[in-house]
Amino acid sequence: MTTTLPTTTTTERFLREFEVLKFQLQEQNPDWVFKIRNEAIQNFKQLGIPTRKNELWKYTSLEKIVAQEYSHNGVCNRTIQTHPLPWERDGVRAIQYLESIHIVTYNGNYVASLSSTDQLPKSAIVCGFSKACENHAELLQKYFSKIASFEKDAVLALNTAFVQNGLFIYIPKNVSIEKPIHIQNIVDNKEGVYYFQRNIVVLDARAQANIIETYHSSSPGIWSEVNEISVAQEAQLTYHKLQNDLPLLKQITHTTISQAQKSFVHTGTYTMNAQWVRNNLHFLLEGEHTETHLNGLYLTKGNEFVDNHSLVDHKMPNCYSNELYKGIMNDQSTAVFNGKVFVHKDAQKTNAYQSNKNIVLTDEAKIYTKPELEIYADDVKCSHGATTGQLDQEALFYLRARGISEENARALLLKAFMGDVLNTIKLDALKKHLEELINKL
Amino acid sequence: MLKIKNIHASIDGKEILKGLNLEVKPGEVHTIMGPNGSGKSTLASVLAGREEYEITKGEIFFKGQNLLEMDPEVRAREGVFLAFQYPVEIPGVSSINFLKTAVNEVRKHKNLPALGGADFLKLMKEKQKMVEMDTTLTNRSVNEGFSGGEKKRFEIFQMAMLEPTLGILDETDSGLDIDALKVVANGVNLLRSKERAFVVITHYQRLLDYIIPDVVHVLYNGQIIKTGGKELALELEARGYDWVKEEFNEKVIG
Ligand SMILES: Nc1ncnc2c1ncn2[C@@H]1O[C@H](COP(=O)(O)OP(=O)(O)OP(=O)(O)O)[C@@H](O)[C@H]1O
Ligand SMILES: [Mg+2]
Repeated sequence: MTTTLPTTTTTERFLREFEVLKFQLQEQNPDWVFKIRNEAIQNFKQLGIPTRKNELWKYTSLEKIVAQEYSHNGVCNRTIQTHPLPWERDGVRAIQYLESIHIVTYNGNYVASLSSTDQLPKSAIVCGFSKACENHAELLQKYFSKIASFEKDAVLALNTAFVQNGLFIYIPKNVSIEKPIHIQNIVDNKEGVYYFQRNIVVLDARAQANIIETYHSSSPGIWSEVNEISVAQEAQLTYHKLQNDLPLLKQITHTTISQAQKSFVHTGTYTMNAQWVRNNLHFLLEGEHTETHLNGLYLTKGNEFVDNHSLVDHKMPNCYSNELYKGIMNDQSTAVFNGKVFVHKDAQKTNAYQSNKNIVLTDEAKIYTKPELEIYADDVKCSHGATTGQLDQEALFYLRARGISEENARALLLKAFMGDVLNTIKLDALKKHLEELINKL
Repeated sequence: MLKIKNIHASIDGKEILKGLNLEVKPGEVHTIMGPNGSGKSTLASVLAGREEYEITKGEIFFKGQNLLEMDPEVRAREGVFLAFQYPVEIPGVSSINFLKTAVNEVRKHKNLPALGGADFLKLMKEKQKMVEMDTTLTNRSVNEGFSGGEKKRFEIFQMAMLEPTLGILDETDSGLDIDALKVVANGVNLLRSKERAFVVITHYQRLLDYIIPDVVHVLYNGQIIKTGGKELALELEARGYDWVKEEFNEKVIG
């Protein structure tokens, strides 16, 4: 047969590409890494690129997007390019007023020369993924592909097979990093390319860190980022993801966070000015008495598409999770929220809350929201809910009747709507930065 | 100041105001009374610029300008203030921020410089005293969780802050206890001046013991069917509306 289904073509393209890269990968990486890659590609072969028939990809034709974007260039497999970096555009770099430990990745590669990791305690580790495979193999083996399982996930499998870039961050026991760590990820390439990045973040017992990831790219392509994060007992992590500067690039992120007992994690995912984004955020609650907060804000316009899928897996008793995602959809844009809370049989005394609220500003804008609770324990407190509406016309009139312009009245109401997500951000500079970005929308 | 000429207004295809005429001069206080559903709040909404109402006929002039051509915010800046019968709760919008935005947009319209933080707080304090407004309320979101009486008091407080030329009070007295009623009435009386006029919509003559009107109108079935002095309110309280309706019907038929 000369005609094949597009599914077969894109999947096969990746498989072929792996064959080509295979020997290079085998040479570059230690055996244990290559072994994982091999398993991953076998797994990917079985699964194939997800189509809309896959329930988890119902609103997103990944297969179509990959076929479109995956031009002749294929997988980006370059080594570091350095000066001059072409990405330094106005306002891209800084979160104003944020005093941070700055880490830069460029096309997925860690750029030591632009990072300020000297401010970290000596015992902490920050290095590129490939380097970590060599220098910190013993540590890395415990986490790479151990936190996030690719068994049922083609995107994860693909990332695992190909990835050579990304970061390894290790914060040892009892170490508190006061200053936020700002990871600035920059992708720059003129042609359609598939990028893979893997970040592995480990907070050992009682460690503390605040991490902010921002993404910047003016080029097209697909960017697959996988984060495997381990938060050991009594450790505390806040993890913010700001997807604001992605006018052309399509981004698929997958973050799995595993939490040991009495750990605390707060995540914030803020998406605006991004053409096409899919975020998977999974929490595995592996110890008792953990606390988890998942906050999200997505503001879409034009024909942007933002899809947030989350899973909170309550495996142990006495854990608390609270999820709040809010979205405002304008023009012909589309957003998807799918949040699942899973409470295992043994996870008694679970407290799990989930809420998704949306404002749709036009007739053409769309939101597909699906909050899901699956509970197998009997002594739990759980709630979930989703609302979708328009801007409150009564409130709008009330404000205008006091002399406030329609534009300002709308802005006041939208800001009020976003308030309870923004108010959870304890880093004032980040909050202010977000507010300014929102004002400019 | 306000001239309403033969106004017809409908909502969802149903005519509510059916040829209403009213003229209010500077310094005057007009009271509008009338049975439930007669169109009092509709009139107030039409004056404030609610877009759901369709004006099928008639004209309204405010200070010589065509009011119907103005957006609600422009009317407010020009000096029309409606104290709502049912003020809406706006969670997440702080009362102070709301008031400051409103005051400064009105000031801008009048070519006055914006009030800075300190000046604004000073003004707020002064007006708060005037309507004996609980200061903790202004630290909350607009109307959120306010009691019925608190909402009404907050409306009068906003009026005091914005200093309109025409204040329309839609049943501001409903749901107020005697003390609150006095406070609200006192607030209105303090705002009364030669330049400023009020249209007070009420069901109870009680309010008129405190805010003494110059004219009392009866609104019935979308029209003003009787106009009199303040003694008309007392008569309505004693006798109800039937006799006015009958009198009007006779006049129409006869
Ligand atoms: N959307 C609508 N569609 C049809 N009729 C409406 C609509 N909104 C209001 N009305 C009707 O318009 C009429 C006038 O209402 P309005 O609120 O102006 O009365 P009111 O005189 O203020 O009454 P009250 O004394 O009870 O406050 C009522 O019969 C009401 O049911
Ligand atoms: Mg009414």
